[in-house]
Amino acid sequence: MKNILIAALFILTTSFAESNIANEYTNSTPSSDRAKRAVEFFLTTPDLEEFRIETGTQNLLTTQIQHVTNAQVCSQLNALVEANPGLQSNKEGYTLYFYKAGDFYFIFHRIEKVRLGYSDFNVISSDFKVLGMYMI
Amino acid sequence: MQLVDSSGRETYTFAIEDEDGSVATFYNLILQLNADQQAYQPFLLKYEMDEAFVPIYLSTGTLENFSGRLTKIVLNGNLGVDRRGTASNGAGLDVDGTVCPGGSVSFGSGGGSGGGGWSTDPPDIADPDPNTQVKCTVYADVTDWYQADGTYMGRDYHSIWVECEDVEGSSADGDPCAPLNGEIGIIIPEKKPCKTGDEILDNENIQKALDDLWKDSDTEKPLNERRENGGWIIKNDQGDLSFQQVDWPSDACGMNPPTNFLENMPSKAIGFVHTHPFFKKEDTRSVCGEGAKKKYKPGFSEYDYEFLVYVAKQTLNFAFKGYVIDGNKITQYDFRGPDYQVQKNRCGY
Repeated sequence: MKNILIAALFILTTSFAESNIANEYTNSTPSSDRAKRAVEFFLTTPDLEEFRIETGTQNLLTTQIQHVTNAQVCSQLNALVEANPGLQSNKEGYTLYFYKAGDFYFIFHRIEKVRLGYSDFNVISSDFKVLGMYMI
Repeated sequence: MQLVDSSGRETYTFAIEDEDGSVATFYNLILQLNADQQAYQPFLLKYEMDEAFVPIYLSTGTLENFSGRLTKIVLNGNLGVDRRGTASNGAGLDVDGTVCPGGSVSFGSGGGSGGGGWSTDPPDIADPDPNTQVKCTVYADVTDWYQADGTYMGRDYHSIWVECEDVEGSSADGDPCAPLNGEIGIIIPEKKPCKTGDEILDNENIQKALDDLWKDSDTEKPLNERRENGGWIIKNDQGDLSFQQVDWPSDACGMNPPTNFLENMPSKAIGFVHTHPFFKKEDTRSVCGEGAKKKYKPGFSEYDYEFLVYVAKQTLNFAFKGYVIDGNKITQYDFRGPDYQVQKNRCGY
């Protein structure tokens, strides 16, 4: 019994370490249901249609939404954020998210604390050009 | 509506759909025919009720003792008319308009619900503003009629509406703002029913609360001085509805509830309503950020939605409703998201 517990602890510790290494390696941002809903909101809310048309994202489906984990893509997106102050957030407590759908990437910040109001949402092309910076 | 005066001069009045849906403002499009049945000087009459007159209008449905502002907007475009009083240029016609200086008006005995005669006094030229000009686009829904053998019978314009926006420039030359002679028909828009079909919005207690909430949002002030306001809609065990306003830090673009706001949430709360202190088409970028809408549209934001999701999950009440009031609409939404939002006209408040 004691051996089983030690083995389980080892596996858990190893997995946790690997997860951290993977994140560090890929420069990936976290994923969350909340962040995924933000992308769904952008793709489906009627009064945001003008933003979707501006960026060519009007035909994307919510089933296409994915968390960005590819190391190379994450590096490119991080570099884009660093080079573009408009994509940064200096507010405390905000988390940066990278998502994609089809040929588009989405960069945005969210705070976990509940509030009412507007938040940033940026649409990026497959060649890492900023197509639109919005408050949604 | 057709009016023919003693000299045989004909005028036609068309009701104009007010896209912004304000009960306090409506437009009529006036087309005049000369003796040769040619149209000349089409113009819009814009009726803006003042704050004191709106409740009178809402209760009586007439313009008797109208108190407010009447603006004549001369359309400089070429609007042809046939004898049946129908505009012939159809949908999407761009028409330049010139705002005439303000004038005083008096209503004849027929001025009432659903139309009637309107006698005009010569307008008093007051506060002329030669730099004010609007650009108007006139739209119409058109039906062409044919006999069974294919003979063209004519064209009907069921619905005509005009969208105008201020543009810089000076008034047109000439005297298109000369006093009107004779009678002009008025078509008053049908009084909007104060029943939306939504139990909450049709409740008088809630309507009063929404009215107060909107007034507290300071929407008559510049954008940066406005503020969002909100509160809980409560339904007790007897089914009675009431409202409890919250006092959370806010600005024109958001509210920040305290971290423990759920502890102070009424146990019988069934919904949360808050204001967006903007009117349709207002440019909100100066206060909400460069990425905000150049032309505000009614709706709710992603954080607004997340707020509702959070409350619904924490209280296990997935029927919890969110409402956003802005200057034109009330948007209702729930846990299911944007696809299930419903927008209703504001009703008496």
